[in-house]
Formats: sequence, structure tokens, C-alpha cells
Amino acid sequence: MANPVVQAVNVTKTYNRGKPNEVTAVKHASLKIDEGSLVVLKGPSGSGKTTLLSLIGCQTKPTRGEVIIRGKKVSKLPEKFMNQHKRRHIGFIFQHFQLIAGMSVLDNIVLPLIPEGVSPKARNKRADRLLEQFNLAHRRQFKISSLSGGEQQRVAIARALINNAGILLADEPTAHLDSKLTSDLLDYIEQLKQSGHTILITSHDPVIYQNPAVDRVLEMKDGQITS
Amino acid sequence: MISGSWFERQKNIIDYSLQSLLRRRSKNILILIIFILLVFAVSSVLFITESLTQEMMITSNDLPDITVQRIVGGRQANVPASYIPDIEEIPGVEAVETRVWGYFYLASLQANFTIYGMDLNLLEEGEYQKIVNWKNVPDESENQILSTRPDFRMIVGQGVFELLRDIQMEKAYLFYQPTWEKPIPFDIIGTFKTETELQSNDMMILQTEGARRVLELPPDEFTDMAVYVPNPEEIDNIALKIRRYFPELRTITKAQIKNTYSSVFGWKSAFVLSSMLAAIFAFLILIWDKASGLSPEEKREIGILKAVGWDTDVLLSVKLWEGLILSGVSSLAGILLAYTYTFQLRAPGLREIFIGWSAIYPSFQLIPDADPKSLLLIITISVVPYLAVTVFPAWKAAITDPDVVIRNI
Amino acid sequence: MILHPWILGLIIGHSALLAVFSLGVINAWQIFRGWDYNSTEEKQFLLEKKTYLVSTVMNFALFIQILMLFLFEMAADELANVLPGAMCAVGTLSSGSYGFPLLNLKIVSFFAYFIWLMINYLDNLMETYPLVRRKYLGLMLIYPLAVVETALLFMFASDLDPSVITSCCGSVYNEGTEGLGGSLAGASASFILPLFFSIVILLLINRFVLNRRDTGRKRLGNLLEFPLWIAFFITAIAVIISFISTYVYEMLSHKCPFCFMGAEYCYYGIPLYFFLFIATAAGMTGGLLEMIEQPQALKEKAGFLQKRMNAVSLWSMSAFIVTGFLPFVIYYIKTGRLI
Repeated sequence: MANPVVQAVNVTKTYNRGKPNEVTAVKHASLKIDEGSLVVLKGPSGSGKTTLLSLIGCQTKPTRGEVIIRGKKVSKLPEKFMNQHKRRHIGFIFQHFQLIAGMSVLDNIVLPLIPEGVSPKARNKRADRLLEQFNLAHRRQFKISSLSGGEQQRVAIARALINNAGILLADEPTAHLDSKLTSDLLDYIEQLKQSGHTILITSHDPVIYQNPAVDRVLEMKDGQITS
Repeated sequence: MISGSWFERQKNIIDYSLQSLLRRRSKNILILIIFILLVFAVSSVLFITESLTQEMMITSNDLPDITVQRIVGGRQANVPASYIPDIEEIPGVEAVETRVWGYFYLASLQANFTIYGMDLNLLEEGEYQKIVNWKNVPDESENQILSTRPDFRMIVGQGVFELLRDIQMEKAYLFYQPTWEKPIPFDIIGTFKTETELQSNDMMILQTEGARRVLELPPDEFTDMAVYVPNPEEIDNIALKIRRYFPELRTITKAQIKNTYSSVFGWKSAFVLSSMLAAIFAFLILIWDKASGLSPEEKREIGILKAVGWDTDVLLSVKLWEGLILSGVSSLAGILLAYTYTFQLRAPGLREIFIGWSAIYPSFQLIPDADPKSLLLIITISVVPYLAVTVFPAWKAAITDPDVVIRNI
Repeated sequence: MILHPWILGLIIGHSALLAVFSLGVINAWQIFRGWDYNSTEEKQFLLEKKTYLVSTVMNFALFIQILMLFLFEMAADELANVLPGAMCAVGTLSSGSYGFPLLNLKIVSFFAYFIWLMINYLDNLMETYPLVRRKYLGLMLIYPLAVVETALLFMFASDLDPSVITSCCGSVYNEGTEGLGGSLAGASASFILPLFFSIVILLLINRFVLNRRDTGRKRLGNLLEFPLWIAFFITAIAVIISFISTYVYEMLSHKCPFCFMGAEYCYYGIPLYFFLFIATAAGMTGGLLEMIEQPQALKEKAGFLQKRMNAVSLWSMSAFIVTGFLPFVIYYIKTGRLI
């Protein structure tokens, strides 16, 4: 029996509670994701999928409900412990890559390892492996600003993988990509799934959610999971 | 995932902080420059104070243990020789020396000078010979006048000599008061060497008999007396006794003089420092302002770091290390500059404030002596307030939510 | 009041300390009042973030306090040049009535900050921050120390009068003089030394004997540790004044505890006091940690920390004793007799 590696139990996220601009982005959402599966969360923009992904990715805490990652309830944890858990188990790929422009490719990739106290030698070794894997070795010391869109995308993925996390979350990863890059990305994702990663993607791109490698598609609307 | 030790973590953080500073060079350059200037100013003041105090301490050691003066009608009056045996008898007193000296206004130079009377023959032998540049030494064959007027010879300080040379009086000088019948000429037979400049610069040492004439001092009277007491712990007691026996006598101990010097230098330096407080304050406000306002770039960067799993803790450390590195490096630079300014260039500008404006500027050597204590003081005045002011803005920056970055562009 | 750069330095340092501490206390109060671990309100998240501010502030405060202890001693030394009769730090401190109380308060503050930081560190190891309320309450109770210190500093500085003659260490630490200094010096070595060593032995018994017995004895032993360390500190100071100083200066009458901090004595005072302070601080912390009973997980972690503190205090105490008796041993070897 597959064990749920990611669980959201009745999570609700309300921003600006009690203020006139109060908005509930996610309402009573629950989901379970098994180990090694590839799940897509689809829905129109404003449906709350990014927020739900944030909650699962430990980027923010739910107003109500609980998020459980690898059996540990993270929602009530002080930031320090939540972050530790996040660093060890979750890799996040953001919609706009979110790389630091003034830094080199190498420095960007190893960022998650710095607070863990990993020595430069050790982390560069890991980074180099990933650079090889993603064909970025020749761009090792280049500043991000000098990279093409596709290269930046690969850097973002490499960064999400540097900590050997088993869970990958990607927020609208193909939103700004052309079809070639999109299919490249899908290839990577398939590879990652094959190597045992658990992957959750938010997307409203049919190319993504109609891909045969996808195990499950969840739909979100107005903050709630409808299917 | 491999996890390193606390040390590795700190090393990583410091490394990142350094890189982060270098990445935002232009923003930090202004702060760096102002900081260095401020530390430079503070350090210069402290260095010069210390150095002068040191020099004063050394030269003060040669002062008599107790200086005794006579006060009549609230003003200093001559001390008759009759006091000497009574004071010599006080237990603990090793010796009582009499001194002939005074101030004299030289009209041709329009300045006051200190005149000391002593037997110049004593200078010609022993160690004193070395501190004098002998000039115009009477060659027996040459100037007969010189050898026939032993009472009217003098040795002057370098500063005096240069001034006299400017008015072509470097061989002899005429002392004159309107009440005298005629001027009294003195032959200049030497000058004092530079090492003693702080004290000797405006000094003129005249043969005692001649000095008495110039200072109008009657034969059995002296300007003041120097009392030597070998046991330092008895000095205050003996001074007290002298004052008790002879209420018209005033005593000044060596310790009192040292205290006064220290006090004056301390006062002057604190005064200068206080006037810099306004600048320091303004600087701190500038820092607060800069630190509080995060550019969208910076906000984004912090958001990304948070999103990638960095703790508030770590980010706070980074910001504080940035502050520490910036202020530390600036302080060091400021201190080095101050050191060069004070001891290499001899503090032009600042010197005058401390020595006081006078007709002659001593060209003394400032002893390069940076006491480690001063470094601690400088750091307290510079780095500590800087960090104190940046703690809150650093924290504010560090608590940015990663959410910010995920939902925006 | 004397206008002097060292006074300015002290004032600036203390102002920074007070400002930063005040910031901490305001936030500590907010956290104390509003902390609710189970709440998911924005307010609670903000409070959690504020805990970082308070921790950082207190670390900084401890750093400044340590710096100020050094600075204060150096300032006192420098100011001695300006005050008649004063030949070293002691003279400055004896002029007026605020010098020594200020110094004593600083020492107490140092220990208070240190212990608080250790408790804070312990609390932060637990996911539930179990000691939150108590520790911030503790912080608010420590705060008045900083306020009083700053006030005392101002009074001390304004009291300094270059026209008033003050005593030097020779007369303060003279057996004939009245006052604490005199009594500490007068307390002859033959009385203080046995007292000191009895306390050391008691501490060792506590550590090695009682600790291994049943819980009842262990508790008693460990509860005693805190006051024992305070006694240790005080008797150690007495030992320094009445015994150690004699052999550092090689003079029976010079008993000043500050003069040997300087360059002429190879900065001997610095390692000596360093070991003393660390030993006492770690020892007191260890003793205090014993009182933590609930919850179980915290008690375990407290146990680990306590072990580390105990090791540190033991080693430092030994180092202190070795350093302290070194001059005596050297003198004895050199001359073959006692002073």
C-alpha cells in the first residue's frame, strides 16, 4: 500500500483576517499524495492553487487545518523547525524561477545548503553533479542575468534538487515557456518521477495535466478542491 | 542531507555576508566613507591626547616633588633665602633648591618668554653638554667681550633662536625695560637640541647673575623653591606641613601638575569629541534610514532566501555580520589613517588645538604609541552604536515572509 | 563632572546597551502577554518572529556588557591620571560612592544575562518553546538592572571631581582601613584559603558524590550548587585580594585586584578573571538547570546542557586555581620561602 507522503487536512488560508480586505484563498482543502506519484493541481487563476502549494511547501502557515509532510505535522511548528523540515524534504520551483540575479549559477544552486552548514567543498561537489545532469557545467560561474530562459529554468530545477529532497513542488512551471522548453521540462519531470520523487505541480496548461505520466489531476475552484 | 557543525554554518554565513556586501557596493560605499572619516576623527583626537599625555608624563618626572611659592597680596612674590633652613629641617626633605626664573616680554619679538637663571658653567660639563648646540663659543683669541662678560651669557630654545635669527639678533640680544637706564646685552652661546622641544622651545637660560638683573631680583631672594622628597608617600604630608608652618607659602606637588596636564588634555579631547557627537548622531540616523528601507531588489532576495528554506535566524545573522564587517573594516581603516595622520604627519591642525596657539609652534615628535586600550575605546564609540542602530532594521528585513516572493513577481 | 573621552565611551556604550535592552523588553512584554502557541492568528506569527529579535538583542547586550566590564576597568585606570591621589583603577572607583556599587552591579548583570541566554538557548531547542512565558518574565525582571546601571554610571561620572583627593589601592586594601576592601585584605590568607578550598571541596563532593546517589540526594546536591557557586565567587575574590595579589606583586602591602590586569604584569589578570567568571557562570547555570522538571522532553535536553555546563565549570575552576596559585609557586621556587 502506498503511503501518503504529503497530506493537507482541511486547510484554510485567510489573508488579512478581520480587515476590510480579508480574503480566503483556500477553503477546507484536503488532499493526500502518495510516494512517487505525480499529481497536477489545475484550476483557473485565482482559484487558490498557488496558495495551497505554498501551504504544502511550508512557505506559509494555514489559518486552520494541518499540513503533514512525511508524517510530521508542520503547521504549528515554530519557523525554525518548520524550515528545517522543509529544507530536508521539499524542493520548490517557483513560477518566475526566483533566482538571484547578481549571483552566479553555482551560488544560486547551493543556496539551500548554506544554513545547513555544508562546507563549500561538499556543496560544490553536489552542485557540479547537478550541473552535469542539466547541461549547465559550462555556465557554472556565469551570472544569472546572462543566461537564457531555458537555462534559468534548469538552474531553478537544480536548486530544488540540491538538498536531495524527495518531494518536489512546482508552481506553474511552464507559464512563461515556449513549447520546446515545455517539452524539455516534461522530460525532466518524468525522469524525476522515475527516480522516485513525489511531484506536485500546479498548472492550467493542458500539455501538463494531460500528460500520460500524470497519476492524478485535482481541480481547484474558488479555494476548494472540487475533484 | 549532510549537515555541518555550528562552525561551518557560521563560516558559511560570514562568507555570504561578505559576498552580499560586495554585491551591493554602491549602496555601501557612502556609508563606508563617512564611517571611516568619523572613526578617523575620533581616533586622531584620542591618539594625540594619549601621546601628549605620555610626553607630559615623561617630562614631568623631572619636575621637583614640591614647588614652593610665596604669595603676598594674592600675587606671587619673591622668596627670601631665610625660609631654606626651616624647610630643610622638615623630616623627609632631601634637599631644597632655589630657582631664579620669570617671564620677560621681548619687545622686538612681541612675545613673552620664559627666562631661567642658572650657572651656565655647569652645562659645559657632564650630560648637560649634550643637549646644547654650542654656538659662538668664545674662542679665547677672538671676541674678548664674551669672556669678559660671563654674567651675561645665555642659551636659548630652538624656537627663540629662529625668531632672533629673523631679526638678525642670533649672536646677542638686548634686554630692555623702559625703567632701566640702558639695555642689557646678552650673548647667545648655544641653543637646545630638538628632543627637548616641547619644554625648551621658548626658553631662555641666562647666567644667574645676569638673570637676576633682568628679572630685578634682589641678591638674597629667589623666584621660588624646589623641594625634593625621596619618599613619594610623604610628599603630600610635607607639602601640608610647609603650608602650616608658613601660611604665606603655596605648595604645588608633582602629582598635582601631572593631574592638571592630564585633566586639560582630557578636557580638550572630550570637548572635541563632543562637538563631533552631532555628526555621529546624524550618521546614525542616516544608517537607520538606509537600513530600514529595503529596495525591492533586496526584499526580493530575502524572500527568495526564505522561500528556499533560510531561517529568520540565519538571515538576521547575515545582516548583523554585514554590519559588523562594514563597521569593522571602516574602523580599522579609520584607525590606520588616524595613526598615519597623527604620528607620520604630526597632526596638522589638530595639534594647535591641543598645544594651544602661541607665537612659536613646537615641532616636537609625537611618540607613536597606540595603546590597545584606545583601540577598545574607539571600537566602543564606533562599532557598538552602529550595530545597535542596525539591529532593529536587520530584524525587520529578516522576518520578511517567503509568501511575498511566491505570490508576486 | 569630568569631561574625558573614556567617560564619553562608557556613556555611549551604556546608552547603546540600554536602548537595545529597552527594545528587547518592550517586545518581551508583548510576547509575554499575547503568546498562544495554538493560535494561528497573524498576531501569533508576529510574536514568534519577535522572539528572534529579543534573542538577538540579549546576545548583543551580553556582548556589550562584557565589553563594558573591560572598558570600565580601563576607564577607571585612565581616569586615575586625572584624579589626585589615585594611582590605579581602585582610586577612581573609590572617589565618590558610586564606583564600586556600579562595578558590582555590572558583575551581577553579566551573570544574569549569561544565565538568561542559556535558558533561552535551551527553550529554543524545543519545538513548543515551553519556557516562553517564564523566560520573558525573567527578562523583564532583569531589565531594571540595566536601568539602575546606567543611572549609577551617570552619577558616578558626575561625581568625579578632580579637586577631591581619593585613596589609592594601597590604602583601600589596607588592613587598617574600614570598609569591605579593608576587611577583604585584612582577612588573612590563613583564614580565607581554607574557606575557599572547603567550598571547592563541597562543590566537588556535590558533583561527583551526591550526583551519583539516588535522586533525593542528587536533587539536594544540585539545588545547593547555585548558592555554592556564589560563595565560590565571593571567596575567590577574597583569595585574589588577600593572597594571590601578594605573590603577583611580591609585596605584602600591595593587594590591588586591578593593577595586575595591565601590561606590566603580562596581563595576568585577564586569564585569571576569565576563568573565574566562566566557572561561576557555567556553574550557576548548571545548578539552575536542575530545577527544570517539566515537561519531560525539556528535562532531558536540560540534562544534556547541564552536563556540558558542569564540565565547563569544572575545567574553568581548575584553570582558575592553577592560574591563581602560579605566582605563589613561582615565588616559592624562586626564593624558597613565603612572603
